[in-house]
Amino acid sequence: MAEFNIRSDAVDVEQIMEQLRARLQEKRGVDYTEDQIRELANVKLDRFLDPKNVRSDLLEHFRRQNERSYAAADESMGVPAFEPEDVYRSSRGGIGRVLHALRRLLRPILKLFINPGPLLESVRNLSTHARLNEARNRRRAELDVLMYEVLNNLVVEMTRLAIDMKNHRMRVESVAARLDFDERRGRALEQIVQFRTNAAPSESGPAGDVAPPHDSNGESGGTDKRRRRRRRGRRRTGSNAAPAAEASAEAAGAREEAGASTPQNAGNEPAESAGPGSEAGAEPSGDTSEP
Amino acid sequence: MKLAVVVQRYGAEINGGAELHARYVAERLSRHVEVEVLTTCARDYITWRNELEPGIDAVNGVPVRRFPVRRERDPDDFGRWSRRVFANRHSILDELKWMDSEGPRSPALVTHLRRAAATYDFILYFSYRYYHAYHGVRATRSQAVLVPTAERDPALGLAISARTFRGARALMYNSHEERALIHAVARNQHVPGVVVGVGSEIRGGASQARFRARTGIDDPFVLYVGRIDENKGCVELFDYFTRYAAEVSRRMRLVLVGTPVIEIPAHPRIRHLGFVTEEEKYDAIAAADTLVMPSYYESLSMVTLEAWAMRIPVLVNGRCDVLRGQVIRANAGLYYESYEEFAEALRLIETERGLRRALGANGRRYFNRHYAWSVVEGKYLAMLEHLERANRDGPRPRVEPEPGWLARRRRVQPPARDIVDRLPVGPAAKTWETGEFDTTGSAVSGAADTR
Repeated sequence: MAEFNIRSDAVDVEQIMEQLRARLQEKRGVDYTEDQIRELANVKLDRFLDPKNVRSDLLEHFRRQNERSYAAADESMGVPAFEPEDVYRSSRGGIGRVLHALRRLLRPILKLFINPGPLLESVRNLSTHARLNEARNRRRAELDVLMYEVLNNLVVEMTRLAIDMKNHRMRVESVAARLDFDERRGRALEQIVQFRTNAAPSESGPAGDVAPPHDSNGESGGTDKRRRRRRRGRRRTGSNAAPAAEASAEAAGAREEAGASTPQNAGNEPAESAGPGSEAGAEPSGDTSEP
Repeated sequence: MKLAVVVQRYGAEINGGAELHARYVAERLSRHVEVEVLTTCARDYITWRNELEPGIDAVNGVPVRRFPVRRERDPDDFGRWSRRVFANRHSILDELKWMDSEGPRSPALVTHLRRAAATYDFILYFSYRYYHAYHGVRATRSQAVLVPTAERDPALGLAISARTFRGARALMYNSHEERALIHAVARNQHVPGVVVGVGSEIRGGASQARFRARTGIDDPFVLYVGRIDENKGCVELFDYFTRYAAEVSRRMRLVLVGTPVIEIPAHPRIRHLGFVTEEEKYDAIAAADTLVMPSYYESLSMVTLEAWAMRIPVLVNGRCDVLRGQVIRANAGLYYESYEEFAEALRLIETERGLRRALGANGRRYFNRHYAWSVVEGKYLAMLEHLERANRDGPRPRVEPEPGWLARRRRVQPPARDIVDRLPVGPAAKTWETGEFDTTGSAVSGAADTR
């Protein structure tokens, strides 16, 4: 970042201002002028007005309206323009021109009685305002149609977004529930492993011989096969299912070694997420229930 | 030498920019030449109501002759004529009617000028846009010296304004920017002119300790002196300062001196002191870290010069050509054009003590060189002597013919605002030292070209 280098004995204001602007430029990344910022804002608005599903020429309509908005004020509208001279004119062709000249000649006499100047000026102003208002109303009406279309598109998009959001919320809730279940299962498995390390030495000798040998599918006996068949239809797929299944099989083997289901794991469901890669994933007991 | 000073209002209690300027100049020049002030009986610049007695008076030892205003201003009528001449194609007659509706219309003053012109050597007119200046300059061409006090406002684009600038015998400008603006709009390079401005008398003994004891403000502060008005850029100043106070500095305060026209935001670090005495004002300036001048349109900021005279740097609105030009030429302050620049510049002034001191010292030097009363008086007297010599020895200045009856009524004048919008913008180049006193127009042209 540009640092200020100011020598007290020789100050140059223009140089300081240059440094100051360079510093600002570095801060902002680029030194935008007010006009540039407005231009950027317009670009954003253009993008907003021109999404894929909006009528393709809507943006053009808006732009055209904007260009016409100021030019239209001077155009001839339904309300005729009024000039102070109009009150002296006549619409009767040749006689009208004579009348006009006559009235102009007699105008000083009229001015002896009243001063029509302020009156005519006021009428002229009213006429101008009326013309402007008419032009404005016409523009407004045309813009309203376009605004309605934009509004309609906005409502459609908002509804779509609201539905999407609802779906996403439900998906998040589902994922949270599964996560919660996995955590509980993990805790249950930890307790089983703890139980095995505590219980095995008392019944089967050394800890290394506690678990019977499992095959690669984690099968450990006829009982396990029966249980596995019963629950196969409810298993889901999952990339992280295999390790969990192996752990479950290990846990089942450990319990068979122990001879019966233990009170510690009643109510736990460690094998719920076992996938096709671990079809042989064993259930610790048949009377457990899923959450 | 006898000099008449003609101004729309005059009095010790009248503090408008041009009026105060006129009073200072009259009082200072009265030490060298005989001066008489010619003015109206008005005190209020909105209504021009006759509030003072007509006849001869004296203010601070200077004789003053007052003339009644014939009609008070009708705001609706004035607004209507302003719209007509500023925004529409119009005639010279419309412009004259606009001027009448603006006021103060005092035919007695112009009649006196016409009759008594021979008793004065020169007549010094202040403020180009008023009735007295237009009709007075036309009535007393060879003696008329104009102090335009012009800003970039639509009245500058009127045809009658350009005629006034071309019709005067000489012009005393307030700044280089004002001169460039008038040259661009009136093409009056042939009229002798000099950039003078106005001096300021700083009373000794200004005390920041007295200010802090009186107000209880111990923190650093930025000072604004003047009318607290949207037209003076105060709304933008409040916005910028409140953001600065929230985002940048935890100590800096904003102190306001002057009459409020708009509501001042309730903020713990904005303090309004109201209308104060001269002594209190100078105490406040002495205690300030910097003086801020947020106005977009100034022909000359006297309080800026006062701050420089007291070695206080200024922070000005860079969109005002005059203020920006002054700051660059003086090397005595910083300027801003956006909030980011305002915040950076103010933070720099707040934190860099050495810079603050250096800018203040430059300001003081600049003031002494160009705005000390001896310098200002010298420029006025030199110009008057030059004109006296030229009137005596040289050819008569050419006189622009008056438009005829039909020409005055022909609606061919473009909207004044359009003309002003097309004028060049930006500060004038650093021609202060070389183009100081110009009676031929050559140096002036050079200055305009370098813009």
